[in-house]
Amino acid sequence: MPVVSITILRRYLLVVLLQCFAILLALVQSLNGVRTDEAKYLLNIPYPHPPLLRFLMGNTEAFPFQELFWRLLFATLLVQAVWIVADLGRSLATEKRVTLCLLWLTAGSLLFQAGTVMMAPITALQGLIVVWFFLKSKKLDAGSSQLAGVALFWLASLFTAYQAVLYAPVVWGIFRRNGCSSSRASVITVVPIALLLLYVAGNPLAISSFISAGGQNAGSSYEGITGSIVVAWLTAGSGILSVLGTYGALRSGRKELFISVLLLFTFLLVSFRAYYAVLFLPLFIAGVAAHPAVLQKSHLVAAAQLCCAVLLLAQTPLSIGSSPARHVMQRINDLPGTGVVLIHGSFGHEWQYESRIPILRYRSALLSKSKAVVCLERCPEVARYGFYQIANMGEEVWIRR
Amino acid sequence: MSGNLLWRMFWGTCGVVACTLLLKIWPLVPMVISAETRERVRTTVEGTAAREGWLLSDIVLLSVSPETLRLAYRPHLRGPDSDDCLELHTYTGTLRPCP
Repeated sequence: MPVVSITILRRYLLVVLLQCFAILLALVQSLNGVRTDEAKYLLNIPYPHPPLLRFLMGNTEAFPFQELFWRLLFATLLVQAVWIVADLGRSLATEKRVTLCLLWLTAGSLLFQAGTVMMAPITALQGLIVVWFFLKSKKLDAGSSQLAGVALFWLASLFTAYQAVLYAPVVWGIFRRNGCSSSRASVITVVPIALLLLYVAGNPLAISSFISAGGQNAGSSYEGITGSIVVAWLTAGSGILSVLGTYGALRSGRKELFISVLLLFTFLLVSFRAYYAVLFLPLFIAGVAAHPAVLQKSHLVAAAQLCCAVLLLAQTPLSIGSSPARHVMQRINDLPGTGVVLIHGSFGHEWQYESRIPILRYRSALLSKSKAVVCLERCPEVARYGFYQIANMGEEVWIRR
Repeated sequence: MSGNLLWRMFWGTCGVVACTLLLKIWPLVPMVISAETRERVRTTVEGTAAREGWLLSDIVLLSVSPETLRLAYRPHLRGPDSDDCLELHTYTGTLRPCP
């Protein structure tokens, strides 16, 4: 009979416990149904991000539990990434190493974003792998397979989501610290970015989406944006990790890390979204791992981080209840007859995600080819065209007689 | 896998991606170099989308010529999406299937 060591058993048990945590995070996010940005990726709608990951996601549309599948996968990847964090702290004493892992697992951005089907958490995971290479790779030969792997990974990360570009200084640092000349490191870092710009040039929709994102920030006051960025920065690491990570990045002497942090702050100033908070996470962890002196009183750090995470969770109301899209479209999908669905008013991609029938914007001229009309804004003329209204739908829904 | 092979794979992938993107951008060059064409394309596409009830995110611009735009209209929904190639006359706004 094979003898299984206690250490291996403990490790398996830990994997199972972490997986239970990931499932919980995914299930909590699924209570809200699919959000507009999530629908955009699940349906492979071609903006704003490059196609690598959303193409894969779009190919799973036939899965009956597509949404839950990706939530579980993303949550699992983010939570089990703690093993990478543990490896970053391999040289630390056990207590400090455990604290480093705890800082990752209790970071607000992980708690709130791990189960979302968004690109930002995946970019953060890619960022963690990049900082792992940055801090852990030993002196390599400039032509080594590991460095070529980093170059390929960098290309793939950029074609997953634009925000990966914020980790460019760290990527450059990996090549530079491993024997590449400054110019070679710059070329390897910049060529994939140039390809990304070429991709943007061929996608007018992506360009207009950037302009619109920047324009939304332009409408807010400087104080408002700064306040939001500070809140996102604090939430990203549940306060304690945010402070220690930023301080560590500054004091570690690894200027590439700190430049990435500054780049991220600058990016948020121009194009703030609360979900970009998670992009800080790998940089904070790298800051702590690169300057472990911040973990000197590791018990205190762990206790404070736990308290902050609990406070953060307690202050965030659990949002239950999906958008009306699922409820309304389930009803319309089940109706006999052909024709499109017209929607009047502003609506998100979640309506497309829940629909089995093409959706068009409402125009009275299109009523002749429609099977149903959803009025998110009032559309009084529909009744005159042979439609009847369904009661108790929450929204004004009209069906062809 | 040897380092050399992986480096070749990296530069090869960059080359293939660059060629694919250049082939995609080439038919859109008139729009990239002329602000007037860009504005005309924008108003034509937005006007057509408003008239047909299309969502802009369901439209992919394939090529631009002085009188016509070629575009793919793909209404995204759960399940298989239809994909129509259409030619849009920029002055009359007439739509017809690609020849």
